[in-house]
Amino acid sequence: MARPHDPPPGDSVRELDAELAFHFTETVEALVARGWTETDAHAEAERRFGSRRHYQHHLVSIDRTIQRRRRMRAIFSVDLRDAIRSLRATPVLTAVAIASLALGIGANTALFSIVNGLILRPLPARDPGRLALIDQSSWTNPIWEEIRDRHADIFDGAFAWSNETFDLSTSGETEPVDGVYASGAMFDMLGIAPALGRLIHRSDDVRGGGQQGVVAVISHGFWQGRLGGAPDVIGRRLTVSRVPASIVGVAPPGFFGPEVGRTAHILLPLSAEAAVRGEQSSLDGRTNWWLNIMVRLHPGQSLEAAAAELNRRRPAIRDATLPERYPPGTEYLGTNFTLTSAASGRSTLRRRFAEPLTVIMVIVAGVFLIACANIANLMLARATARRHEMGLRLALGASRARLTRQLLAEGLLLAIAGSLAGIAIARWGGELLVRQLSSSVLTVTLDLSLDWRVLGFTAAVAAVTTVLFGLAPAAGLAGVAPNDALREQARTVAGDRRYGMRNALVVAQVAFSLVLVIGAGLFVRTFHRLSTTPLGFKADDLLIVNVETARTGVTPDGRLPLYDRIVGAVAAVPGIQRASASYMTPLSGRGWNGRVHLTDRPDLAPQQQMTFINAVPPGWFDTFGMRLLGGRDVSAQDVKGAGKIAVVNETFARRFIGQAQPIGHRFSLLEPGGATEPFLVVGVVNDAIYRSVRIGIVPIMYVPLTQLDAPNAAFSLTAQVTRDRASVAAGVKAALAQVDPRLAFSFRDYSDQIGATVSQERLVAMLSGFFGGLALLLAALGLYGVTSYSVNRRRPEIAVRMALGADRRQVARLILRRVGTMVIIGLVIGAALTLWATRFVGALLFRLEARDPITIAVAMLTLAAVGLLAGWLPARRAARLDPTEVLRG
Amino acid sequence: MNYLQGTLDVLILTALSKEPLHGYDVVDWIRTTTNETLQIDDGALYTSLHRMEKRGWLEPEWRISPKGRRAKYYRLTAEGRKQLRAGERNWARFADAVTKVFSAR
Repeated sequence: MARPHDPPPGDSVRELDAELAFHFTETVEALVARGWTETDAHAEAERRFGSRRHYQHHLVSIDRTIQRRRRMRAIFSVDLRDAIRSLRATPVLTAVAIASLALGIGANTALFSIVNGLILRPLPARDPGRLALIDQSSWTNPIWEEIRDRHADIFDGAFAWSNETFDLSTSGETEPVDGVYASGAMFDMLGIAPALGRLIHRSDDVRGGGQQGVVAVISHGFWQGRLGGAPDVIGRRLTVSRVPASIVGVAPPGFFGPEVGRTAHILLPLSAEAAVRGEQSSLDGRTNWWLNIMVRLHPGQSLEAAAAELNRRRPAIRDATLPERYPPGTEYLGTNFTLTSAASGRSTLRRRFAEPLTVIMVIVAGVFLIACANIANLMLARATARRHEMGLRLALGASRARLTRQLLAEGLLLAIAGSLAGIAIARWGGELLVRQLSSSVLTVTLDLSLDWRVLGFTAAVAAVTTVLFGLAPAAGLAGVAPNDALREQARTVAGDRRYGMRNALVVAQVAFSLVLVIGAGLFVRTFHRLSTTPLGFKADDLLIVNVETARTGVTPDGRLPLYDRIVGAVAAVPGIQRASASYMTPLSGRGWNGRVHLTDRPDLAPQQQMTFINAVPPGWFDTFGMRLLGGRDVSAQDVKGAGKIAVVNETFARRFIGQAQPIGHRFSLLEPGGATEPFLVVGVVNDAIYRSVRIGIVPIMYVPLTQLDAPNAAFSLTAQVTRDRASVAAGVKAALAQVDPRLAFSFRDYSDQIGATVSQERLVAMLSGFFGGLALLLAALGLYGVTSYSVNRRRPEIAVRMALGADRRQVARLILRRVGTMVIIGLVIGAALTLWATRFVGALLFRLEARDPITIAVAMLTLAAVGLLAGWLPARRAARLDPTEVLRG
Repeated sequence: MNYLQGTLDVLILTALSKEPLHGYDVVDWIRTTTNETLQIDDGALYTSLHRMEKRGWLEPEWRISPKGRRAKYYRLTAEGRKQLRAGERNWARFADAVTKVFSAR
């Protein structure tokens, strides 16, 4: 604190001179009082002091240090102490500011940590910068073996893997667990060391299995959780998809595999696929595209150079792995390989969520800006209220820099408190968000731990806020003159220049929140449309049982009778009304398709040829509540050799048959070896969704299960359920165990299956709705704050107006006009901003224009209504003012 | 030398233990109470004062002296008081030890 008698601050030399001058004056005076002459007294004082040059030199250097420290203290201790004191003087405002900041920083950090985990964070592997993926698509095992055995010299190494869901159960209902088939070199290539035991070696990944048979490496999490961290886990037997495997090692903590967003808990050698899948093995399948291939570049080798060399050998790879029956000139490996960096791993999730996450990130940043504007506004209001104090302190000699420093210190304190709370919120919110990314079909795991990127991001956000909160009021300080303060508290009118900044902030808030509310409206309506679009079948009471018969040892010929026995047993369970087997179930995420060849006219363009296919038994349409629009259902008489038939949907009929009568029409499918035997259309059913609501209605052909050449070992059973699921599921389990205890099966509610197809839209709708609402609330608060503050300041003016004859309604109108102006300007700017911003969200919408007029209009009306409400409360207060009381006071 | 410096510090802290004083008062108090037996430069006393200010044992404050002059007063801080007590204890121990040596003769 400055005191009236301080020597000019910052001048230690003059302070010292003053101190020593005082000392000599006093000494000489005392000596003279004891009878010394003036001259002798001076000499004696000098003698007693000692070498003036020597001491002065010491003293000056000590004082310099003192002064330096005092300055630092002024900044770090005095400013902070003053800042704390001043923030504590307005506890509500401080709490509101810290809470808004914490929420804002928390939401931003949470999202950023997900973006970081999914997109930015490098794969936890040795030298991840040299890892690359061969294209983004998948490959067959013959292609992989060709590359591994004959072309590995192009790279420093290569490995292949396939994401699998293994089954840990020994009988009956499956216990799914995420895992991978990994080629022998994977761990070596990634440079991973085991936490326990050993990892998969090249010697494990040989046809027919290694010396130890089927070996398994388990994740650290699986070991700790499922196996309780047992120290003797090495050598234990584990049933993986009904095949005994022996655990040889535990992967280190933090290792999740090559796929980001998914944790491989069980890792088997690629060759073990033959043991697990038996005769359905894809190891020799030249048309089974199921492997991802990652390579490690040589040091200094560029992606382009490696890709060029691989492509030089593409014809050789192609010739060595060409499937039989593929005629020359087909598109098999017809295009060049491309290599993409895999420094941050491979991720299907990334592709799926990158765009929605970016949009949400922008939304959250927008909300944060609005919150910042609110807090800046509060701080400005506070600063204005403190003009008197500031002016007084300026008048008493405090420097402007000193006051600015204190305001910055207040901003810094708020930012630090907000960031710390924000990081806590982010940790919690991030986990919550990752759970939302998961669905019943997909378990998402992401490493969200704080690394330098996340902390750097938070620090940057905090720094920006500090400057915003600190400098906004400091800018207001610029207008304060020392004498200003003393005549402050005088009457103020609306035109006050100092409101300019606060009004601008409110207008910006309204504009931003309009954009966010419109965005929220678009996403919520998208989700609503997706979930209310008619599916074309009744999914309400359907239970799906996915059945795998491979372990029963049934021959391909015996499968259909087994299907029948299973369906019969399940249909007899109490609480089940109807049950049907089928290859596919709509919206399962899997698909079977083919290309239609027209027998009576030229084929359509290739992209128009595609039809989806399902194999169904008689009565399947009834189970799904679908309507036969003409002709007949498939029947038990449609057997092999009886002439192939198909039931098609309306879209199929429209696209491939046109105006002609569809029943009795023939078409065939295009296969690599040529066109198939023709199918006779015997019936038409109503359109229904096949892949997803977003993809919409597609052509579908239904063929009889009984006419399939070789039915799959796995099929889906769909049952209409009339009782509660739990008791029905128990009955189905018992019934299936009766048929054959070696059957493996899993249950899924149709609603879950449908939900999984819109999980991304649900997430975006939920978050944008929440943050849109928050933006609206913040804008309303900002408007309310500014208006009620200005009403308070204008009390004298309003009182005068009323005394001069203005009635209450005129006063209310006066206030509301100001609010209305701000809202309208905000809406206009916001609408312009929206027109520009919506171009980025078009792809995320469903059957909705990005500039959907209804959404925009409703959002504008909502914002206007909320704005008027926020203005109406203070306006009413102004109108109820008692002029005599105000003017007397 | 360090020992002497420490003694000087304790003397000054003792001088300031009752009330804040300005530099001359400190010098005068030490000169009077020791009957001028200690031959210490006034400059050394000031150096000691400033050094203790730097260490945070003393807090300076400019006031008007009873004679109406602007003077730099020094006040003991909490740390200064702690140092004073420590200094007194050390001195007592030292004096005790010396006394024991003399009485053992």
